[in-house]
Amino acid sequence: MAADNEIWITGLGLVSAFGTGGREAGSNLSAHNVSVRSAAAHGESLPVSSFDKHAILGQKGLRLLSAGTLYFMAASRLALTDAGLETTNRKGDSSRGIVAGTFTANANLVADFDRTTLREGPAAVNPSLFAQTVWNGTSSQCAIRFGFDGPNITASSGTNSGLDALIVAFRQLECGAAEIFLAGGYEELTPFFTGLFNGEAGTTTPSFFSEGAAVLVMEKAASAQERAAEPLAIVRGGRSGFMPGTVGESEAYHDFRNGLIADTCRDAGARPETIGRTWWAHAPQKSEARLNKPAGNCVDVVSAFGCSGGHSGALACVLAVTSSSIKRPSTDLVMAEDGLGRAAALLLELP
Amino acid sequence: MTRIVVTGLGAVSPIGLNTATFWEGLLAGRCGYGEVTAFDLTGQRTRIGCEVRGLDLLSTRLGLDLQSGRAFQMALAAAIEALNQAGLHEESILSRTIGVCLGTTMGEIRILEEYLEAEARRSGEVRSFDQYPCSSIPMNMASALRLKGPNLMIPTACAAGNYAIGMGYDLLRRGEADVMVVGGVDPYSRVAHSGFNRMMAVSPDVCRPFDAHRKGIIPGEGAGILVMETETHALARGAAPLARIRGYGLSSDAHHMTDPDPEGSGLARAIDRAMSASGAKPGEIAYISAHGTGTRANDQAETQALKTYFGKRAYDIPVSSIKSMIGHTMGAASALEAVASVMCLQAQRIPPTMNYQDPDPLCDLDVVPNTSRNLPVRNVMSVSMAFGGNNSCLILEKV
Repeated sequence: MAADNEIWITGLGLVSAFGTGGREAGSNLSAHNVSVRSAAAHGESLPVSSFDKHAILGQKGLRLLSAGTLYFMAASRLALTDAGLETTNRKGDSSRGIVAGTFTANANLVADFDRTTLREGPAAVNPSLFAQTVWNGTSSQCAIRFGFDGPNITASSGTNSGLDALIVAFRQLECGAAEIFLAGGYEELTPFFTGLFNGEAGTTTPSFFSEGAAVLVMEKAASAQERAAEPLAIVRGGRSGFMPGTVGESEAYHDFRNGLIADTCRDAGARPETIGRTWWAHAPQKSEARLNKPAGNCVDVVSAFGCSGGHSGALACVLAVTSSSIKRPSTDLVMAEDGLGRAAALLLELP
Repeated sequence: MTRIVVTGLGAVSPIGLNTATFWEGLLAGRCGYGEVTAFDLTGQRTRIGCEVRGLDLLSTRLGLDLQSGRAFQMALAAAIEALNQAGLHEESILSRTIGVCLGTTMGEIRILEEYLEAEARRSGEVRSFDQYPCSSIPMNMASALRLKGPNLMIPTACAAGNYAIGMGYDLLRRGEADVMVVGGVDPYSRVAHSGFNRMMAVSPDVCRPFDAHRKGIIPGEGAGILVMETETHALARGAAPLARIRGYGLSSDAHHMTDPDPEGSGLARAIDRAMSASGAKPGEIAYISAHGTGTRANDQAETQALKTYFGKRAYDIPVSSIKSMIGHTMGAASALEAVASVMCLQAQRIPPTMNYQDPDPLCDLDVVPNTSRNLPVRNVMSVSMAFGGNNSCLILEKV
């Protein structure tokens, strides 16, 4: 692929229970400079804390926004700053897009909206909240705030949503739909999210829940080079898919997963055996949906930082990009699997 | 350049539970309005909606589980019709990579609404909450039909169907699937009915797009599904293409969560992107399937967008809104409009904008008032706009 057409990651932003910021926050997580062991041992849920939305987003226009929207918006602002991009300039040429991945979006807000209807009658609901009840409310709020008037996409594929959002952005950039994308995932810690894993028969293996947002700036190399930005990573390829009739690990699923990885590598002109490390985001492991770690040098992101739904896959990408513990250059794989037959893979070249 | 064609259509709508009945209804100007039955209307500002009637019977006939979500049932029924038309049956499905990409506004919102009703009553059984996340719909569809391949939900509100069609188009061109099942779905929801009413965006009687006295949308529900594949793949297995997808374009207004950019510049950019991507020329577009919701703001902005892109030629292109007949089916809207667009190309006839009585000087295009029309149609443009300012444009060509 010609250098100008490469897809680079040039900035990132993170809002999480373990830290909030740009690439430094990512590096802190990668270096495990945060203590999560006690939470994992006790099966607790870790909410985002010490998050000053006003410091990142200013004073206005935040009151009615859901927590998930605030996380994604703040992470987007941090990512833009990290990439050296302005945050309010609308170019008017649809050259900047957004892809947001989420599993349950603003479920709490939707529920509160309908509860008001049921308890107090339809005339009591706040019309200003209605637009937040749609699944694309978060990405659209970001588009308005940052003046991103290109493709505005929300992607949902269970716990793989964040990684699928990055893959969608990669495809959109490759086909020339825009020059720059903010892409990532977010999730809010609500009973509607955690309850999806606790209600079924079977054991939920040690894992805990967290929440937050991870957003990356992805852009064509030519666009980045115009402002002398350097790549944190080069996105070489990405694919995702679903294998019906497979829950957890089975021979059919194993073949499907290996095929997905092989296809992703082939798209990139790489070989699976050259993968240095796999950053693995998976759904909490129920006994009947248990997945085995991908072969090779694998980092289990969820066991370390909890399951955060649509945030997990994007967080795994942040960890890969900011890790200082690997020998570079390296070709790494970010993988998300939901234990229900869905898998996603993103191949990165880490310079 | 890889050509992408449509080989199957499926529709579950307020005026028909399959494509043929849906299309006949559109041409006849049949409207699917009725008093809403999905929930208690006490305190609601309006009582009229466009619900799908007879879904239980259809689902029973198809052997679908009536405890599954309403959106899933509608989408699956439409997908079964589309795959049958495409000649893709069990054996041919298992040997291929067939992906699913759908769009929606609210997903399985009825599951959440029932859960909250039971919570309010402190009693009552509810269906499995696993079905609530909107990503369950394409996943459960692929499970039911044994489709292995890409699987994604694109919940971009009222333009979601076109977004899903666009994503599916890209996947086929990249060779990541042999076939894509794409489209959009939404069930009738109390949240949407209440929300649009609180915004004073719902008409108390009918939807009259582009009319001087239009008062808003009529909420609706439904599912529209298209089977798409590369032309090479279709011809190799002996399938007959129904239409060709030439290209699509997306943009965002980046203006307001509910009001469109009054200049229509966002939609005009999406149109420009679609035309560039497809290589189509303005003179080739014979008909435009409008978003045409029947609100003052939308219809005016949309008209302005068409004038911005096409200039004076906009006055020569018929533009009609099928929402005048089936209501605003939310995430299904642009998918059902795509189904109708394919039928326009097949039948060389275009549907009307119903309930049109008084021209609005700010919406002064040829809106095909009240009667369908024979028209030589080689290329159709289908546009959609959504909450949050999401815009989309699809270009379809006769084969």
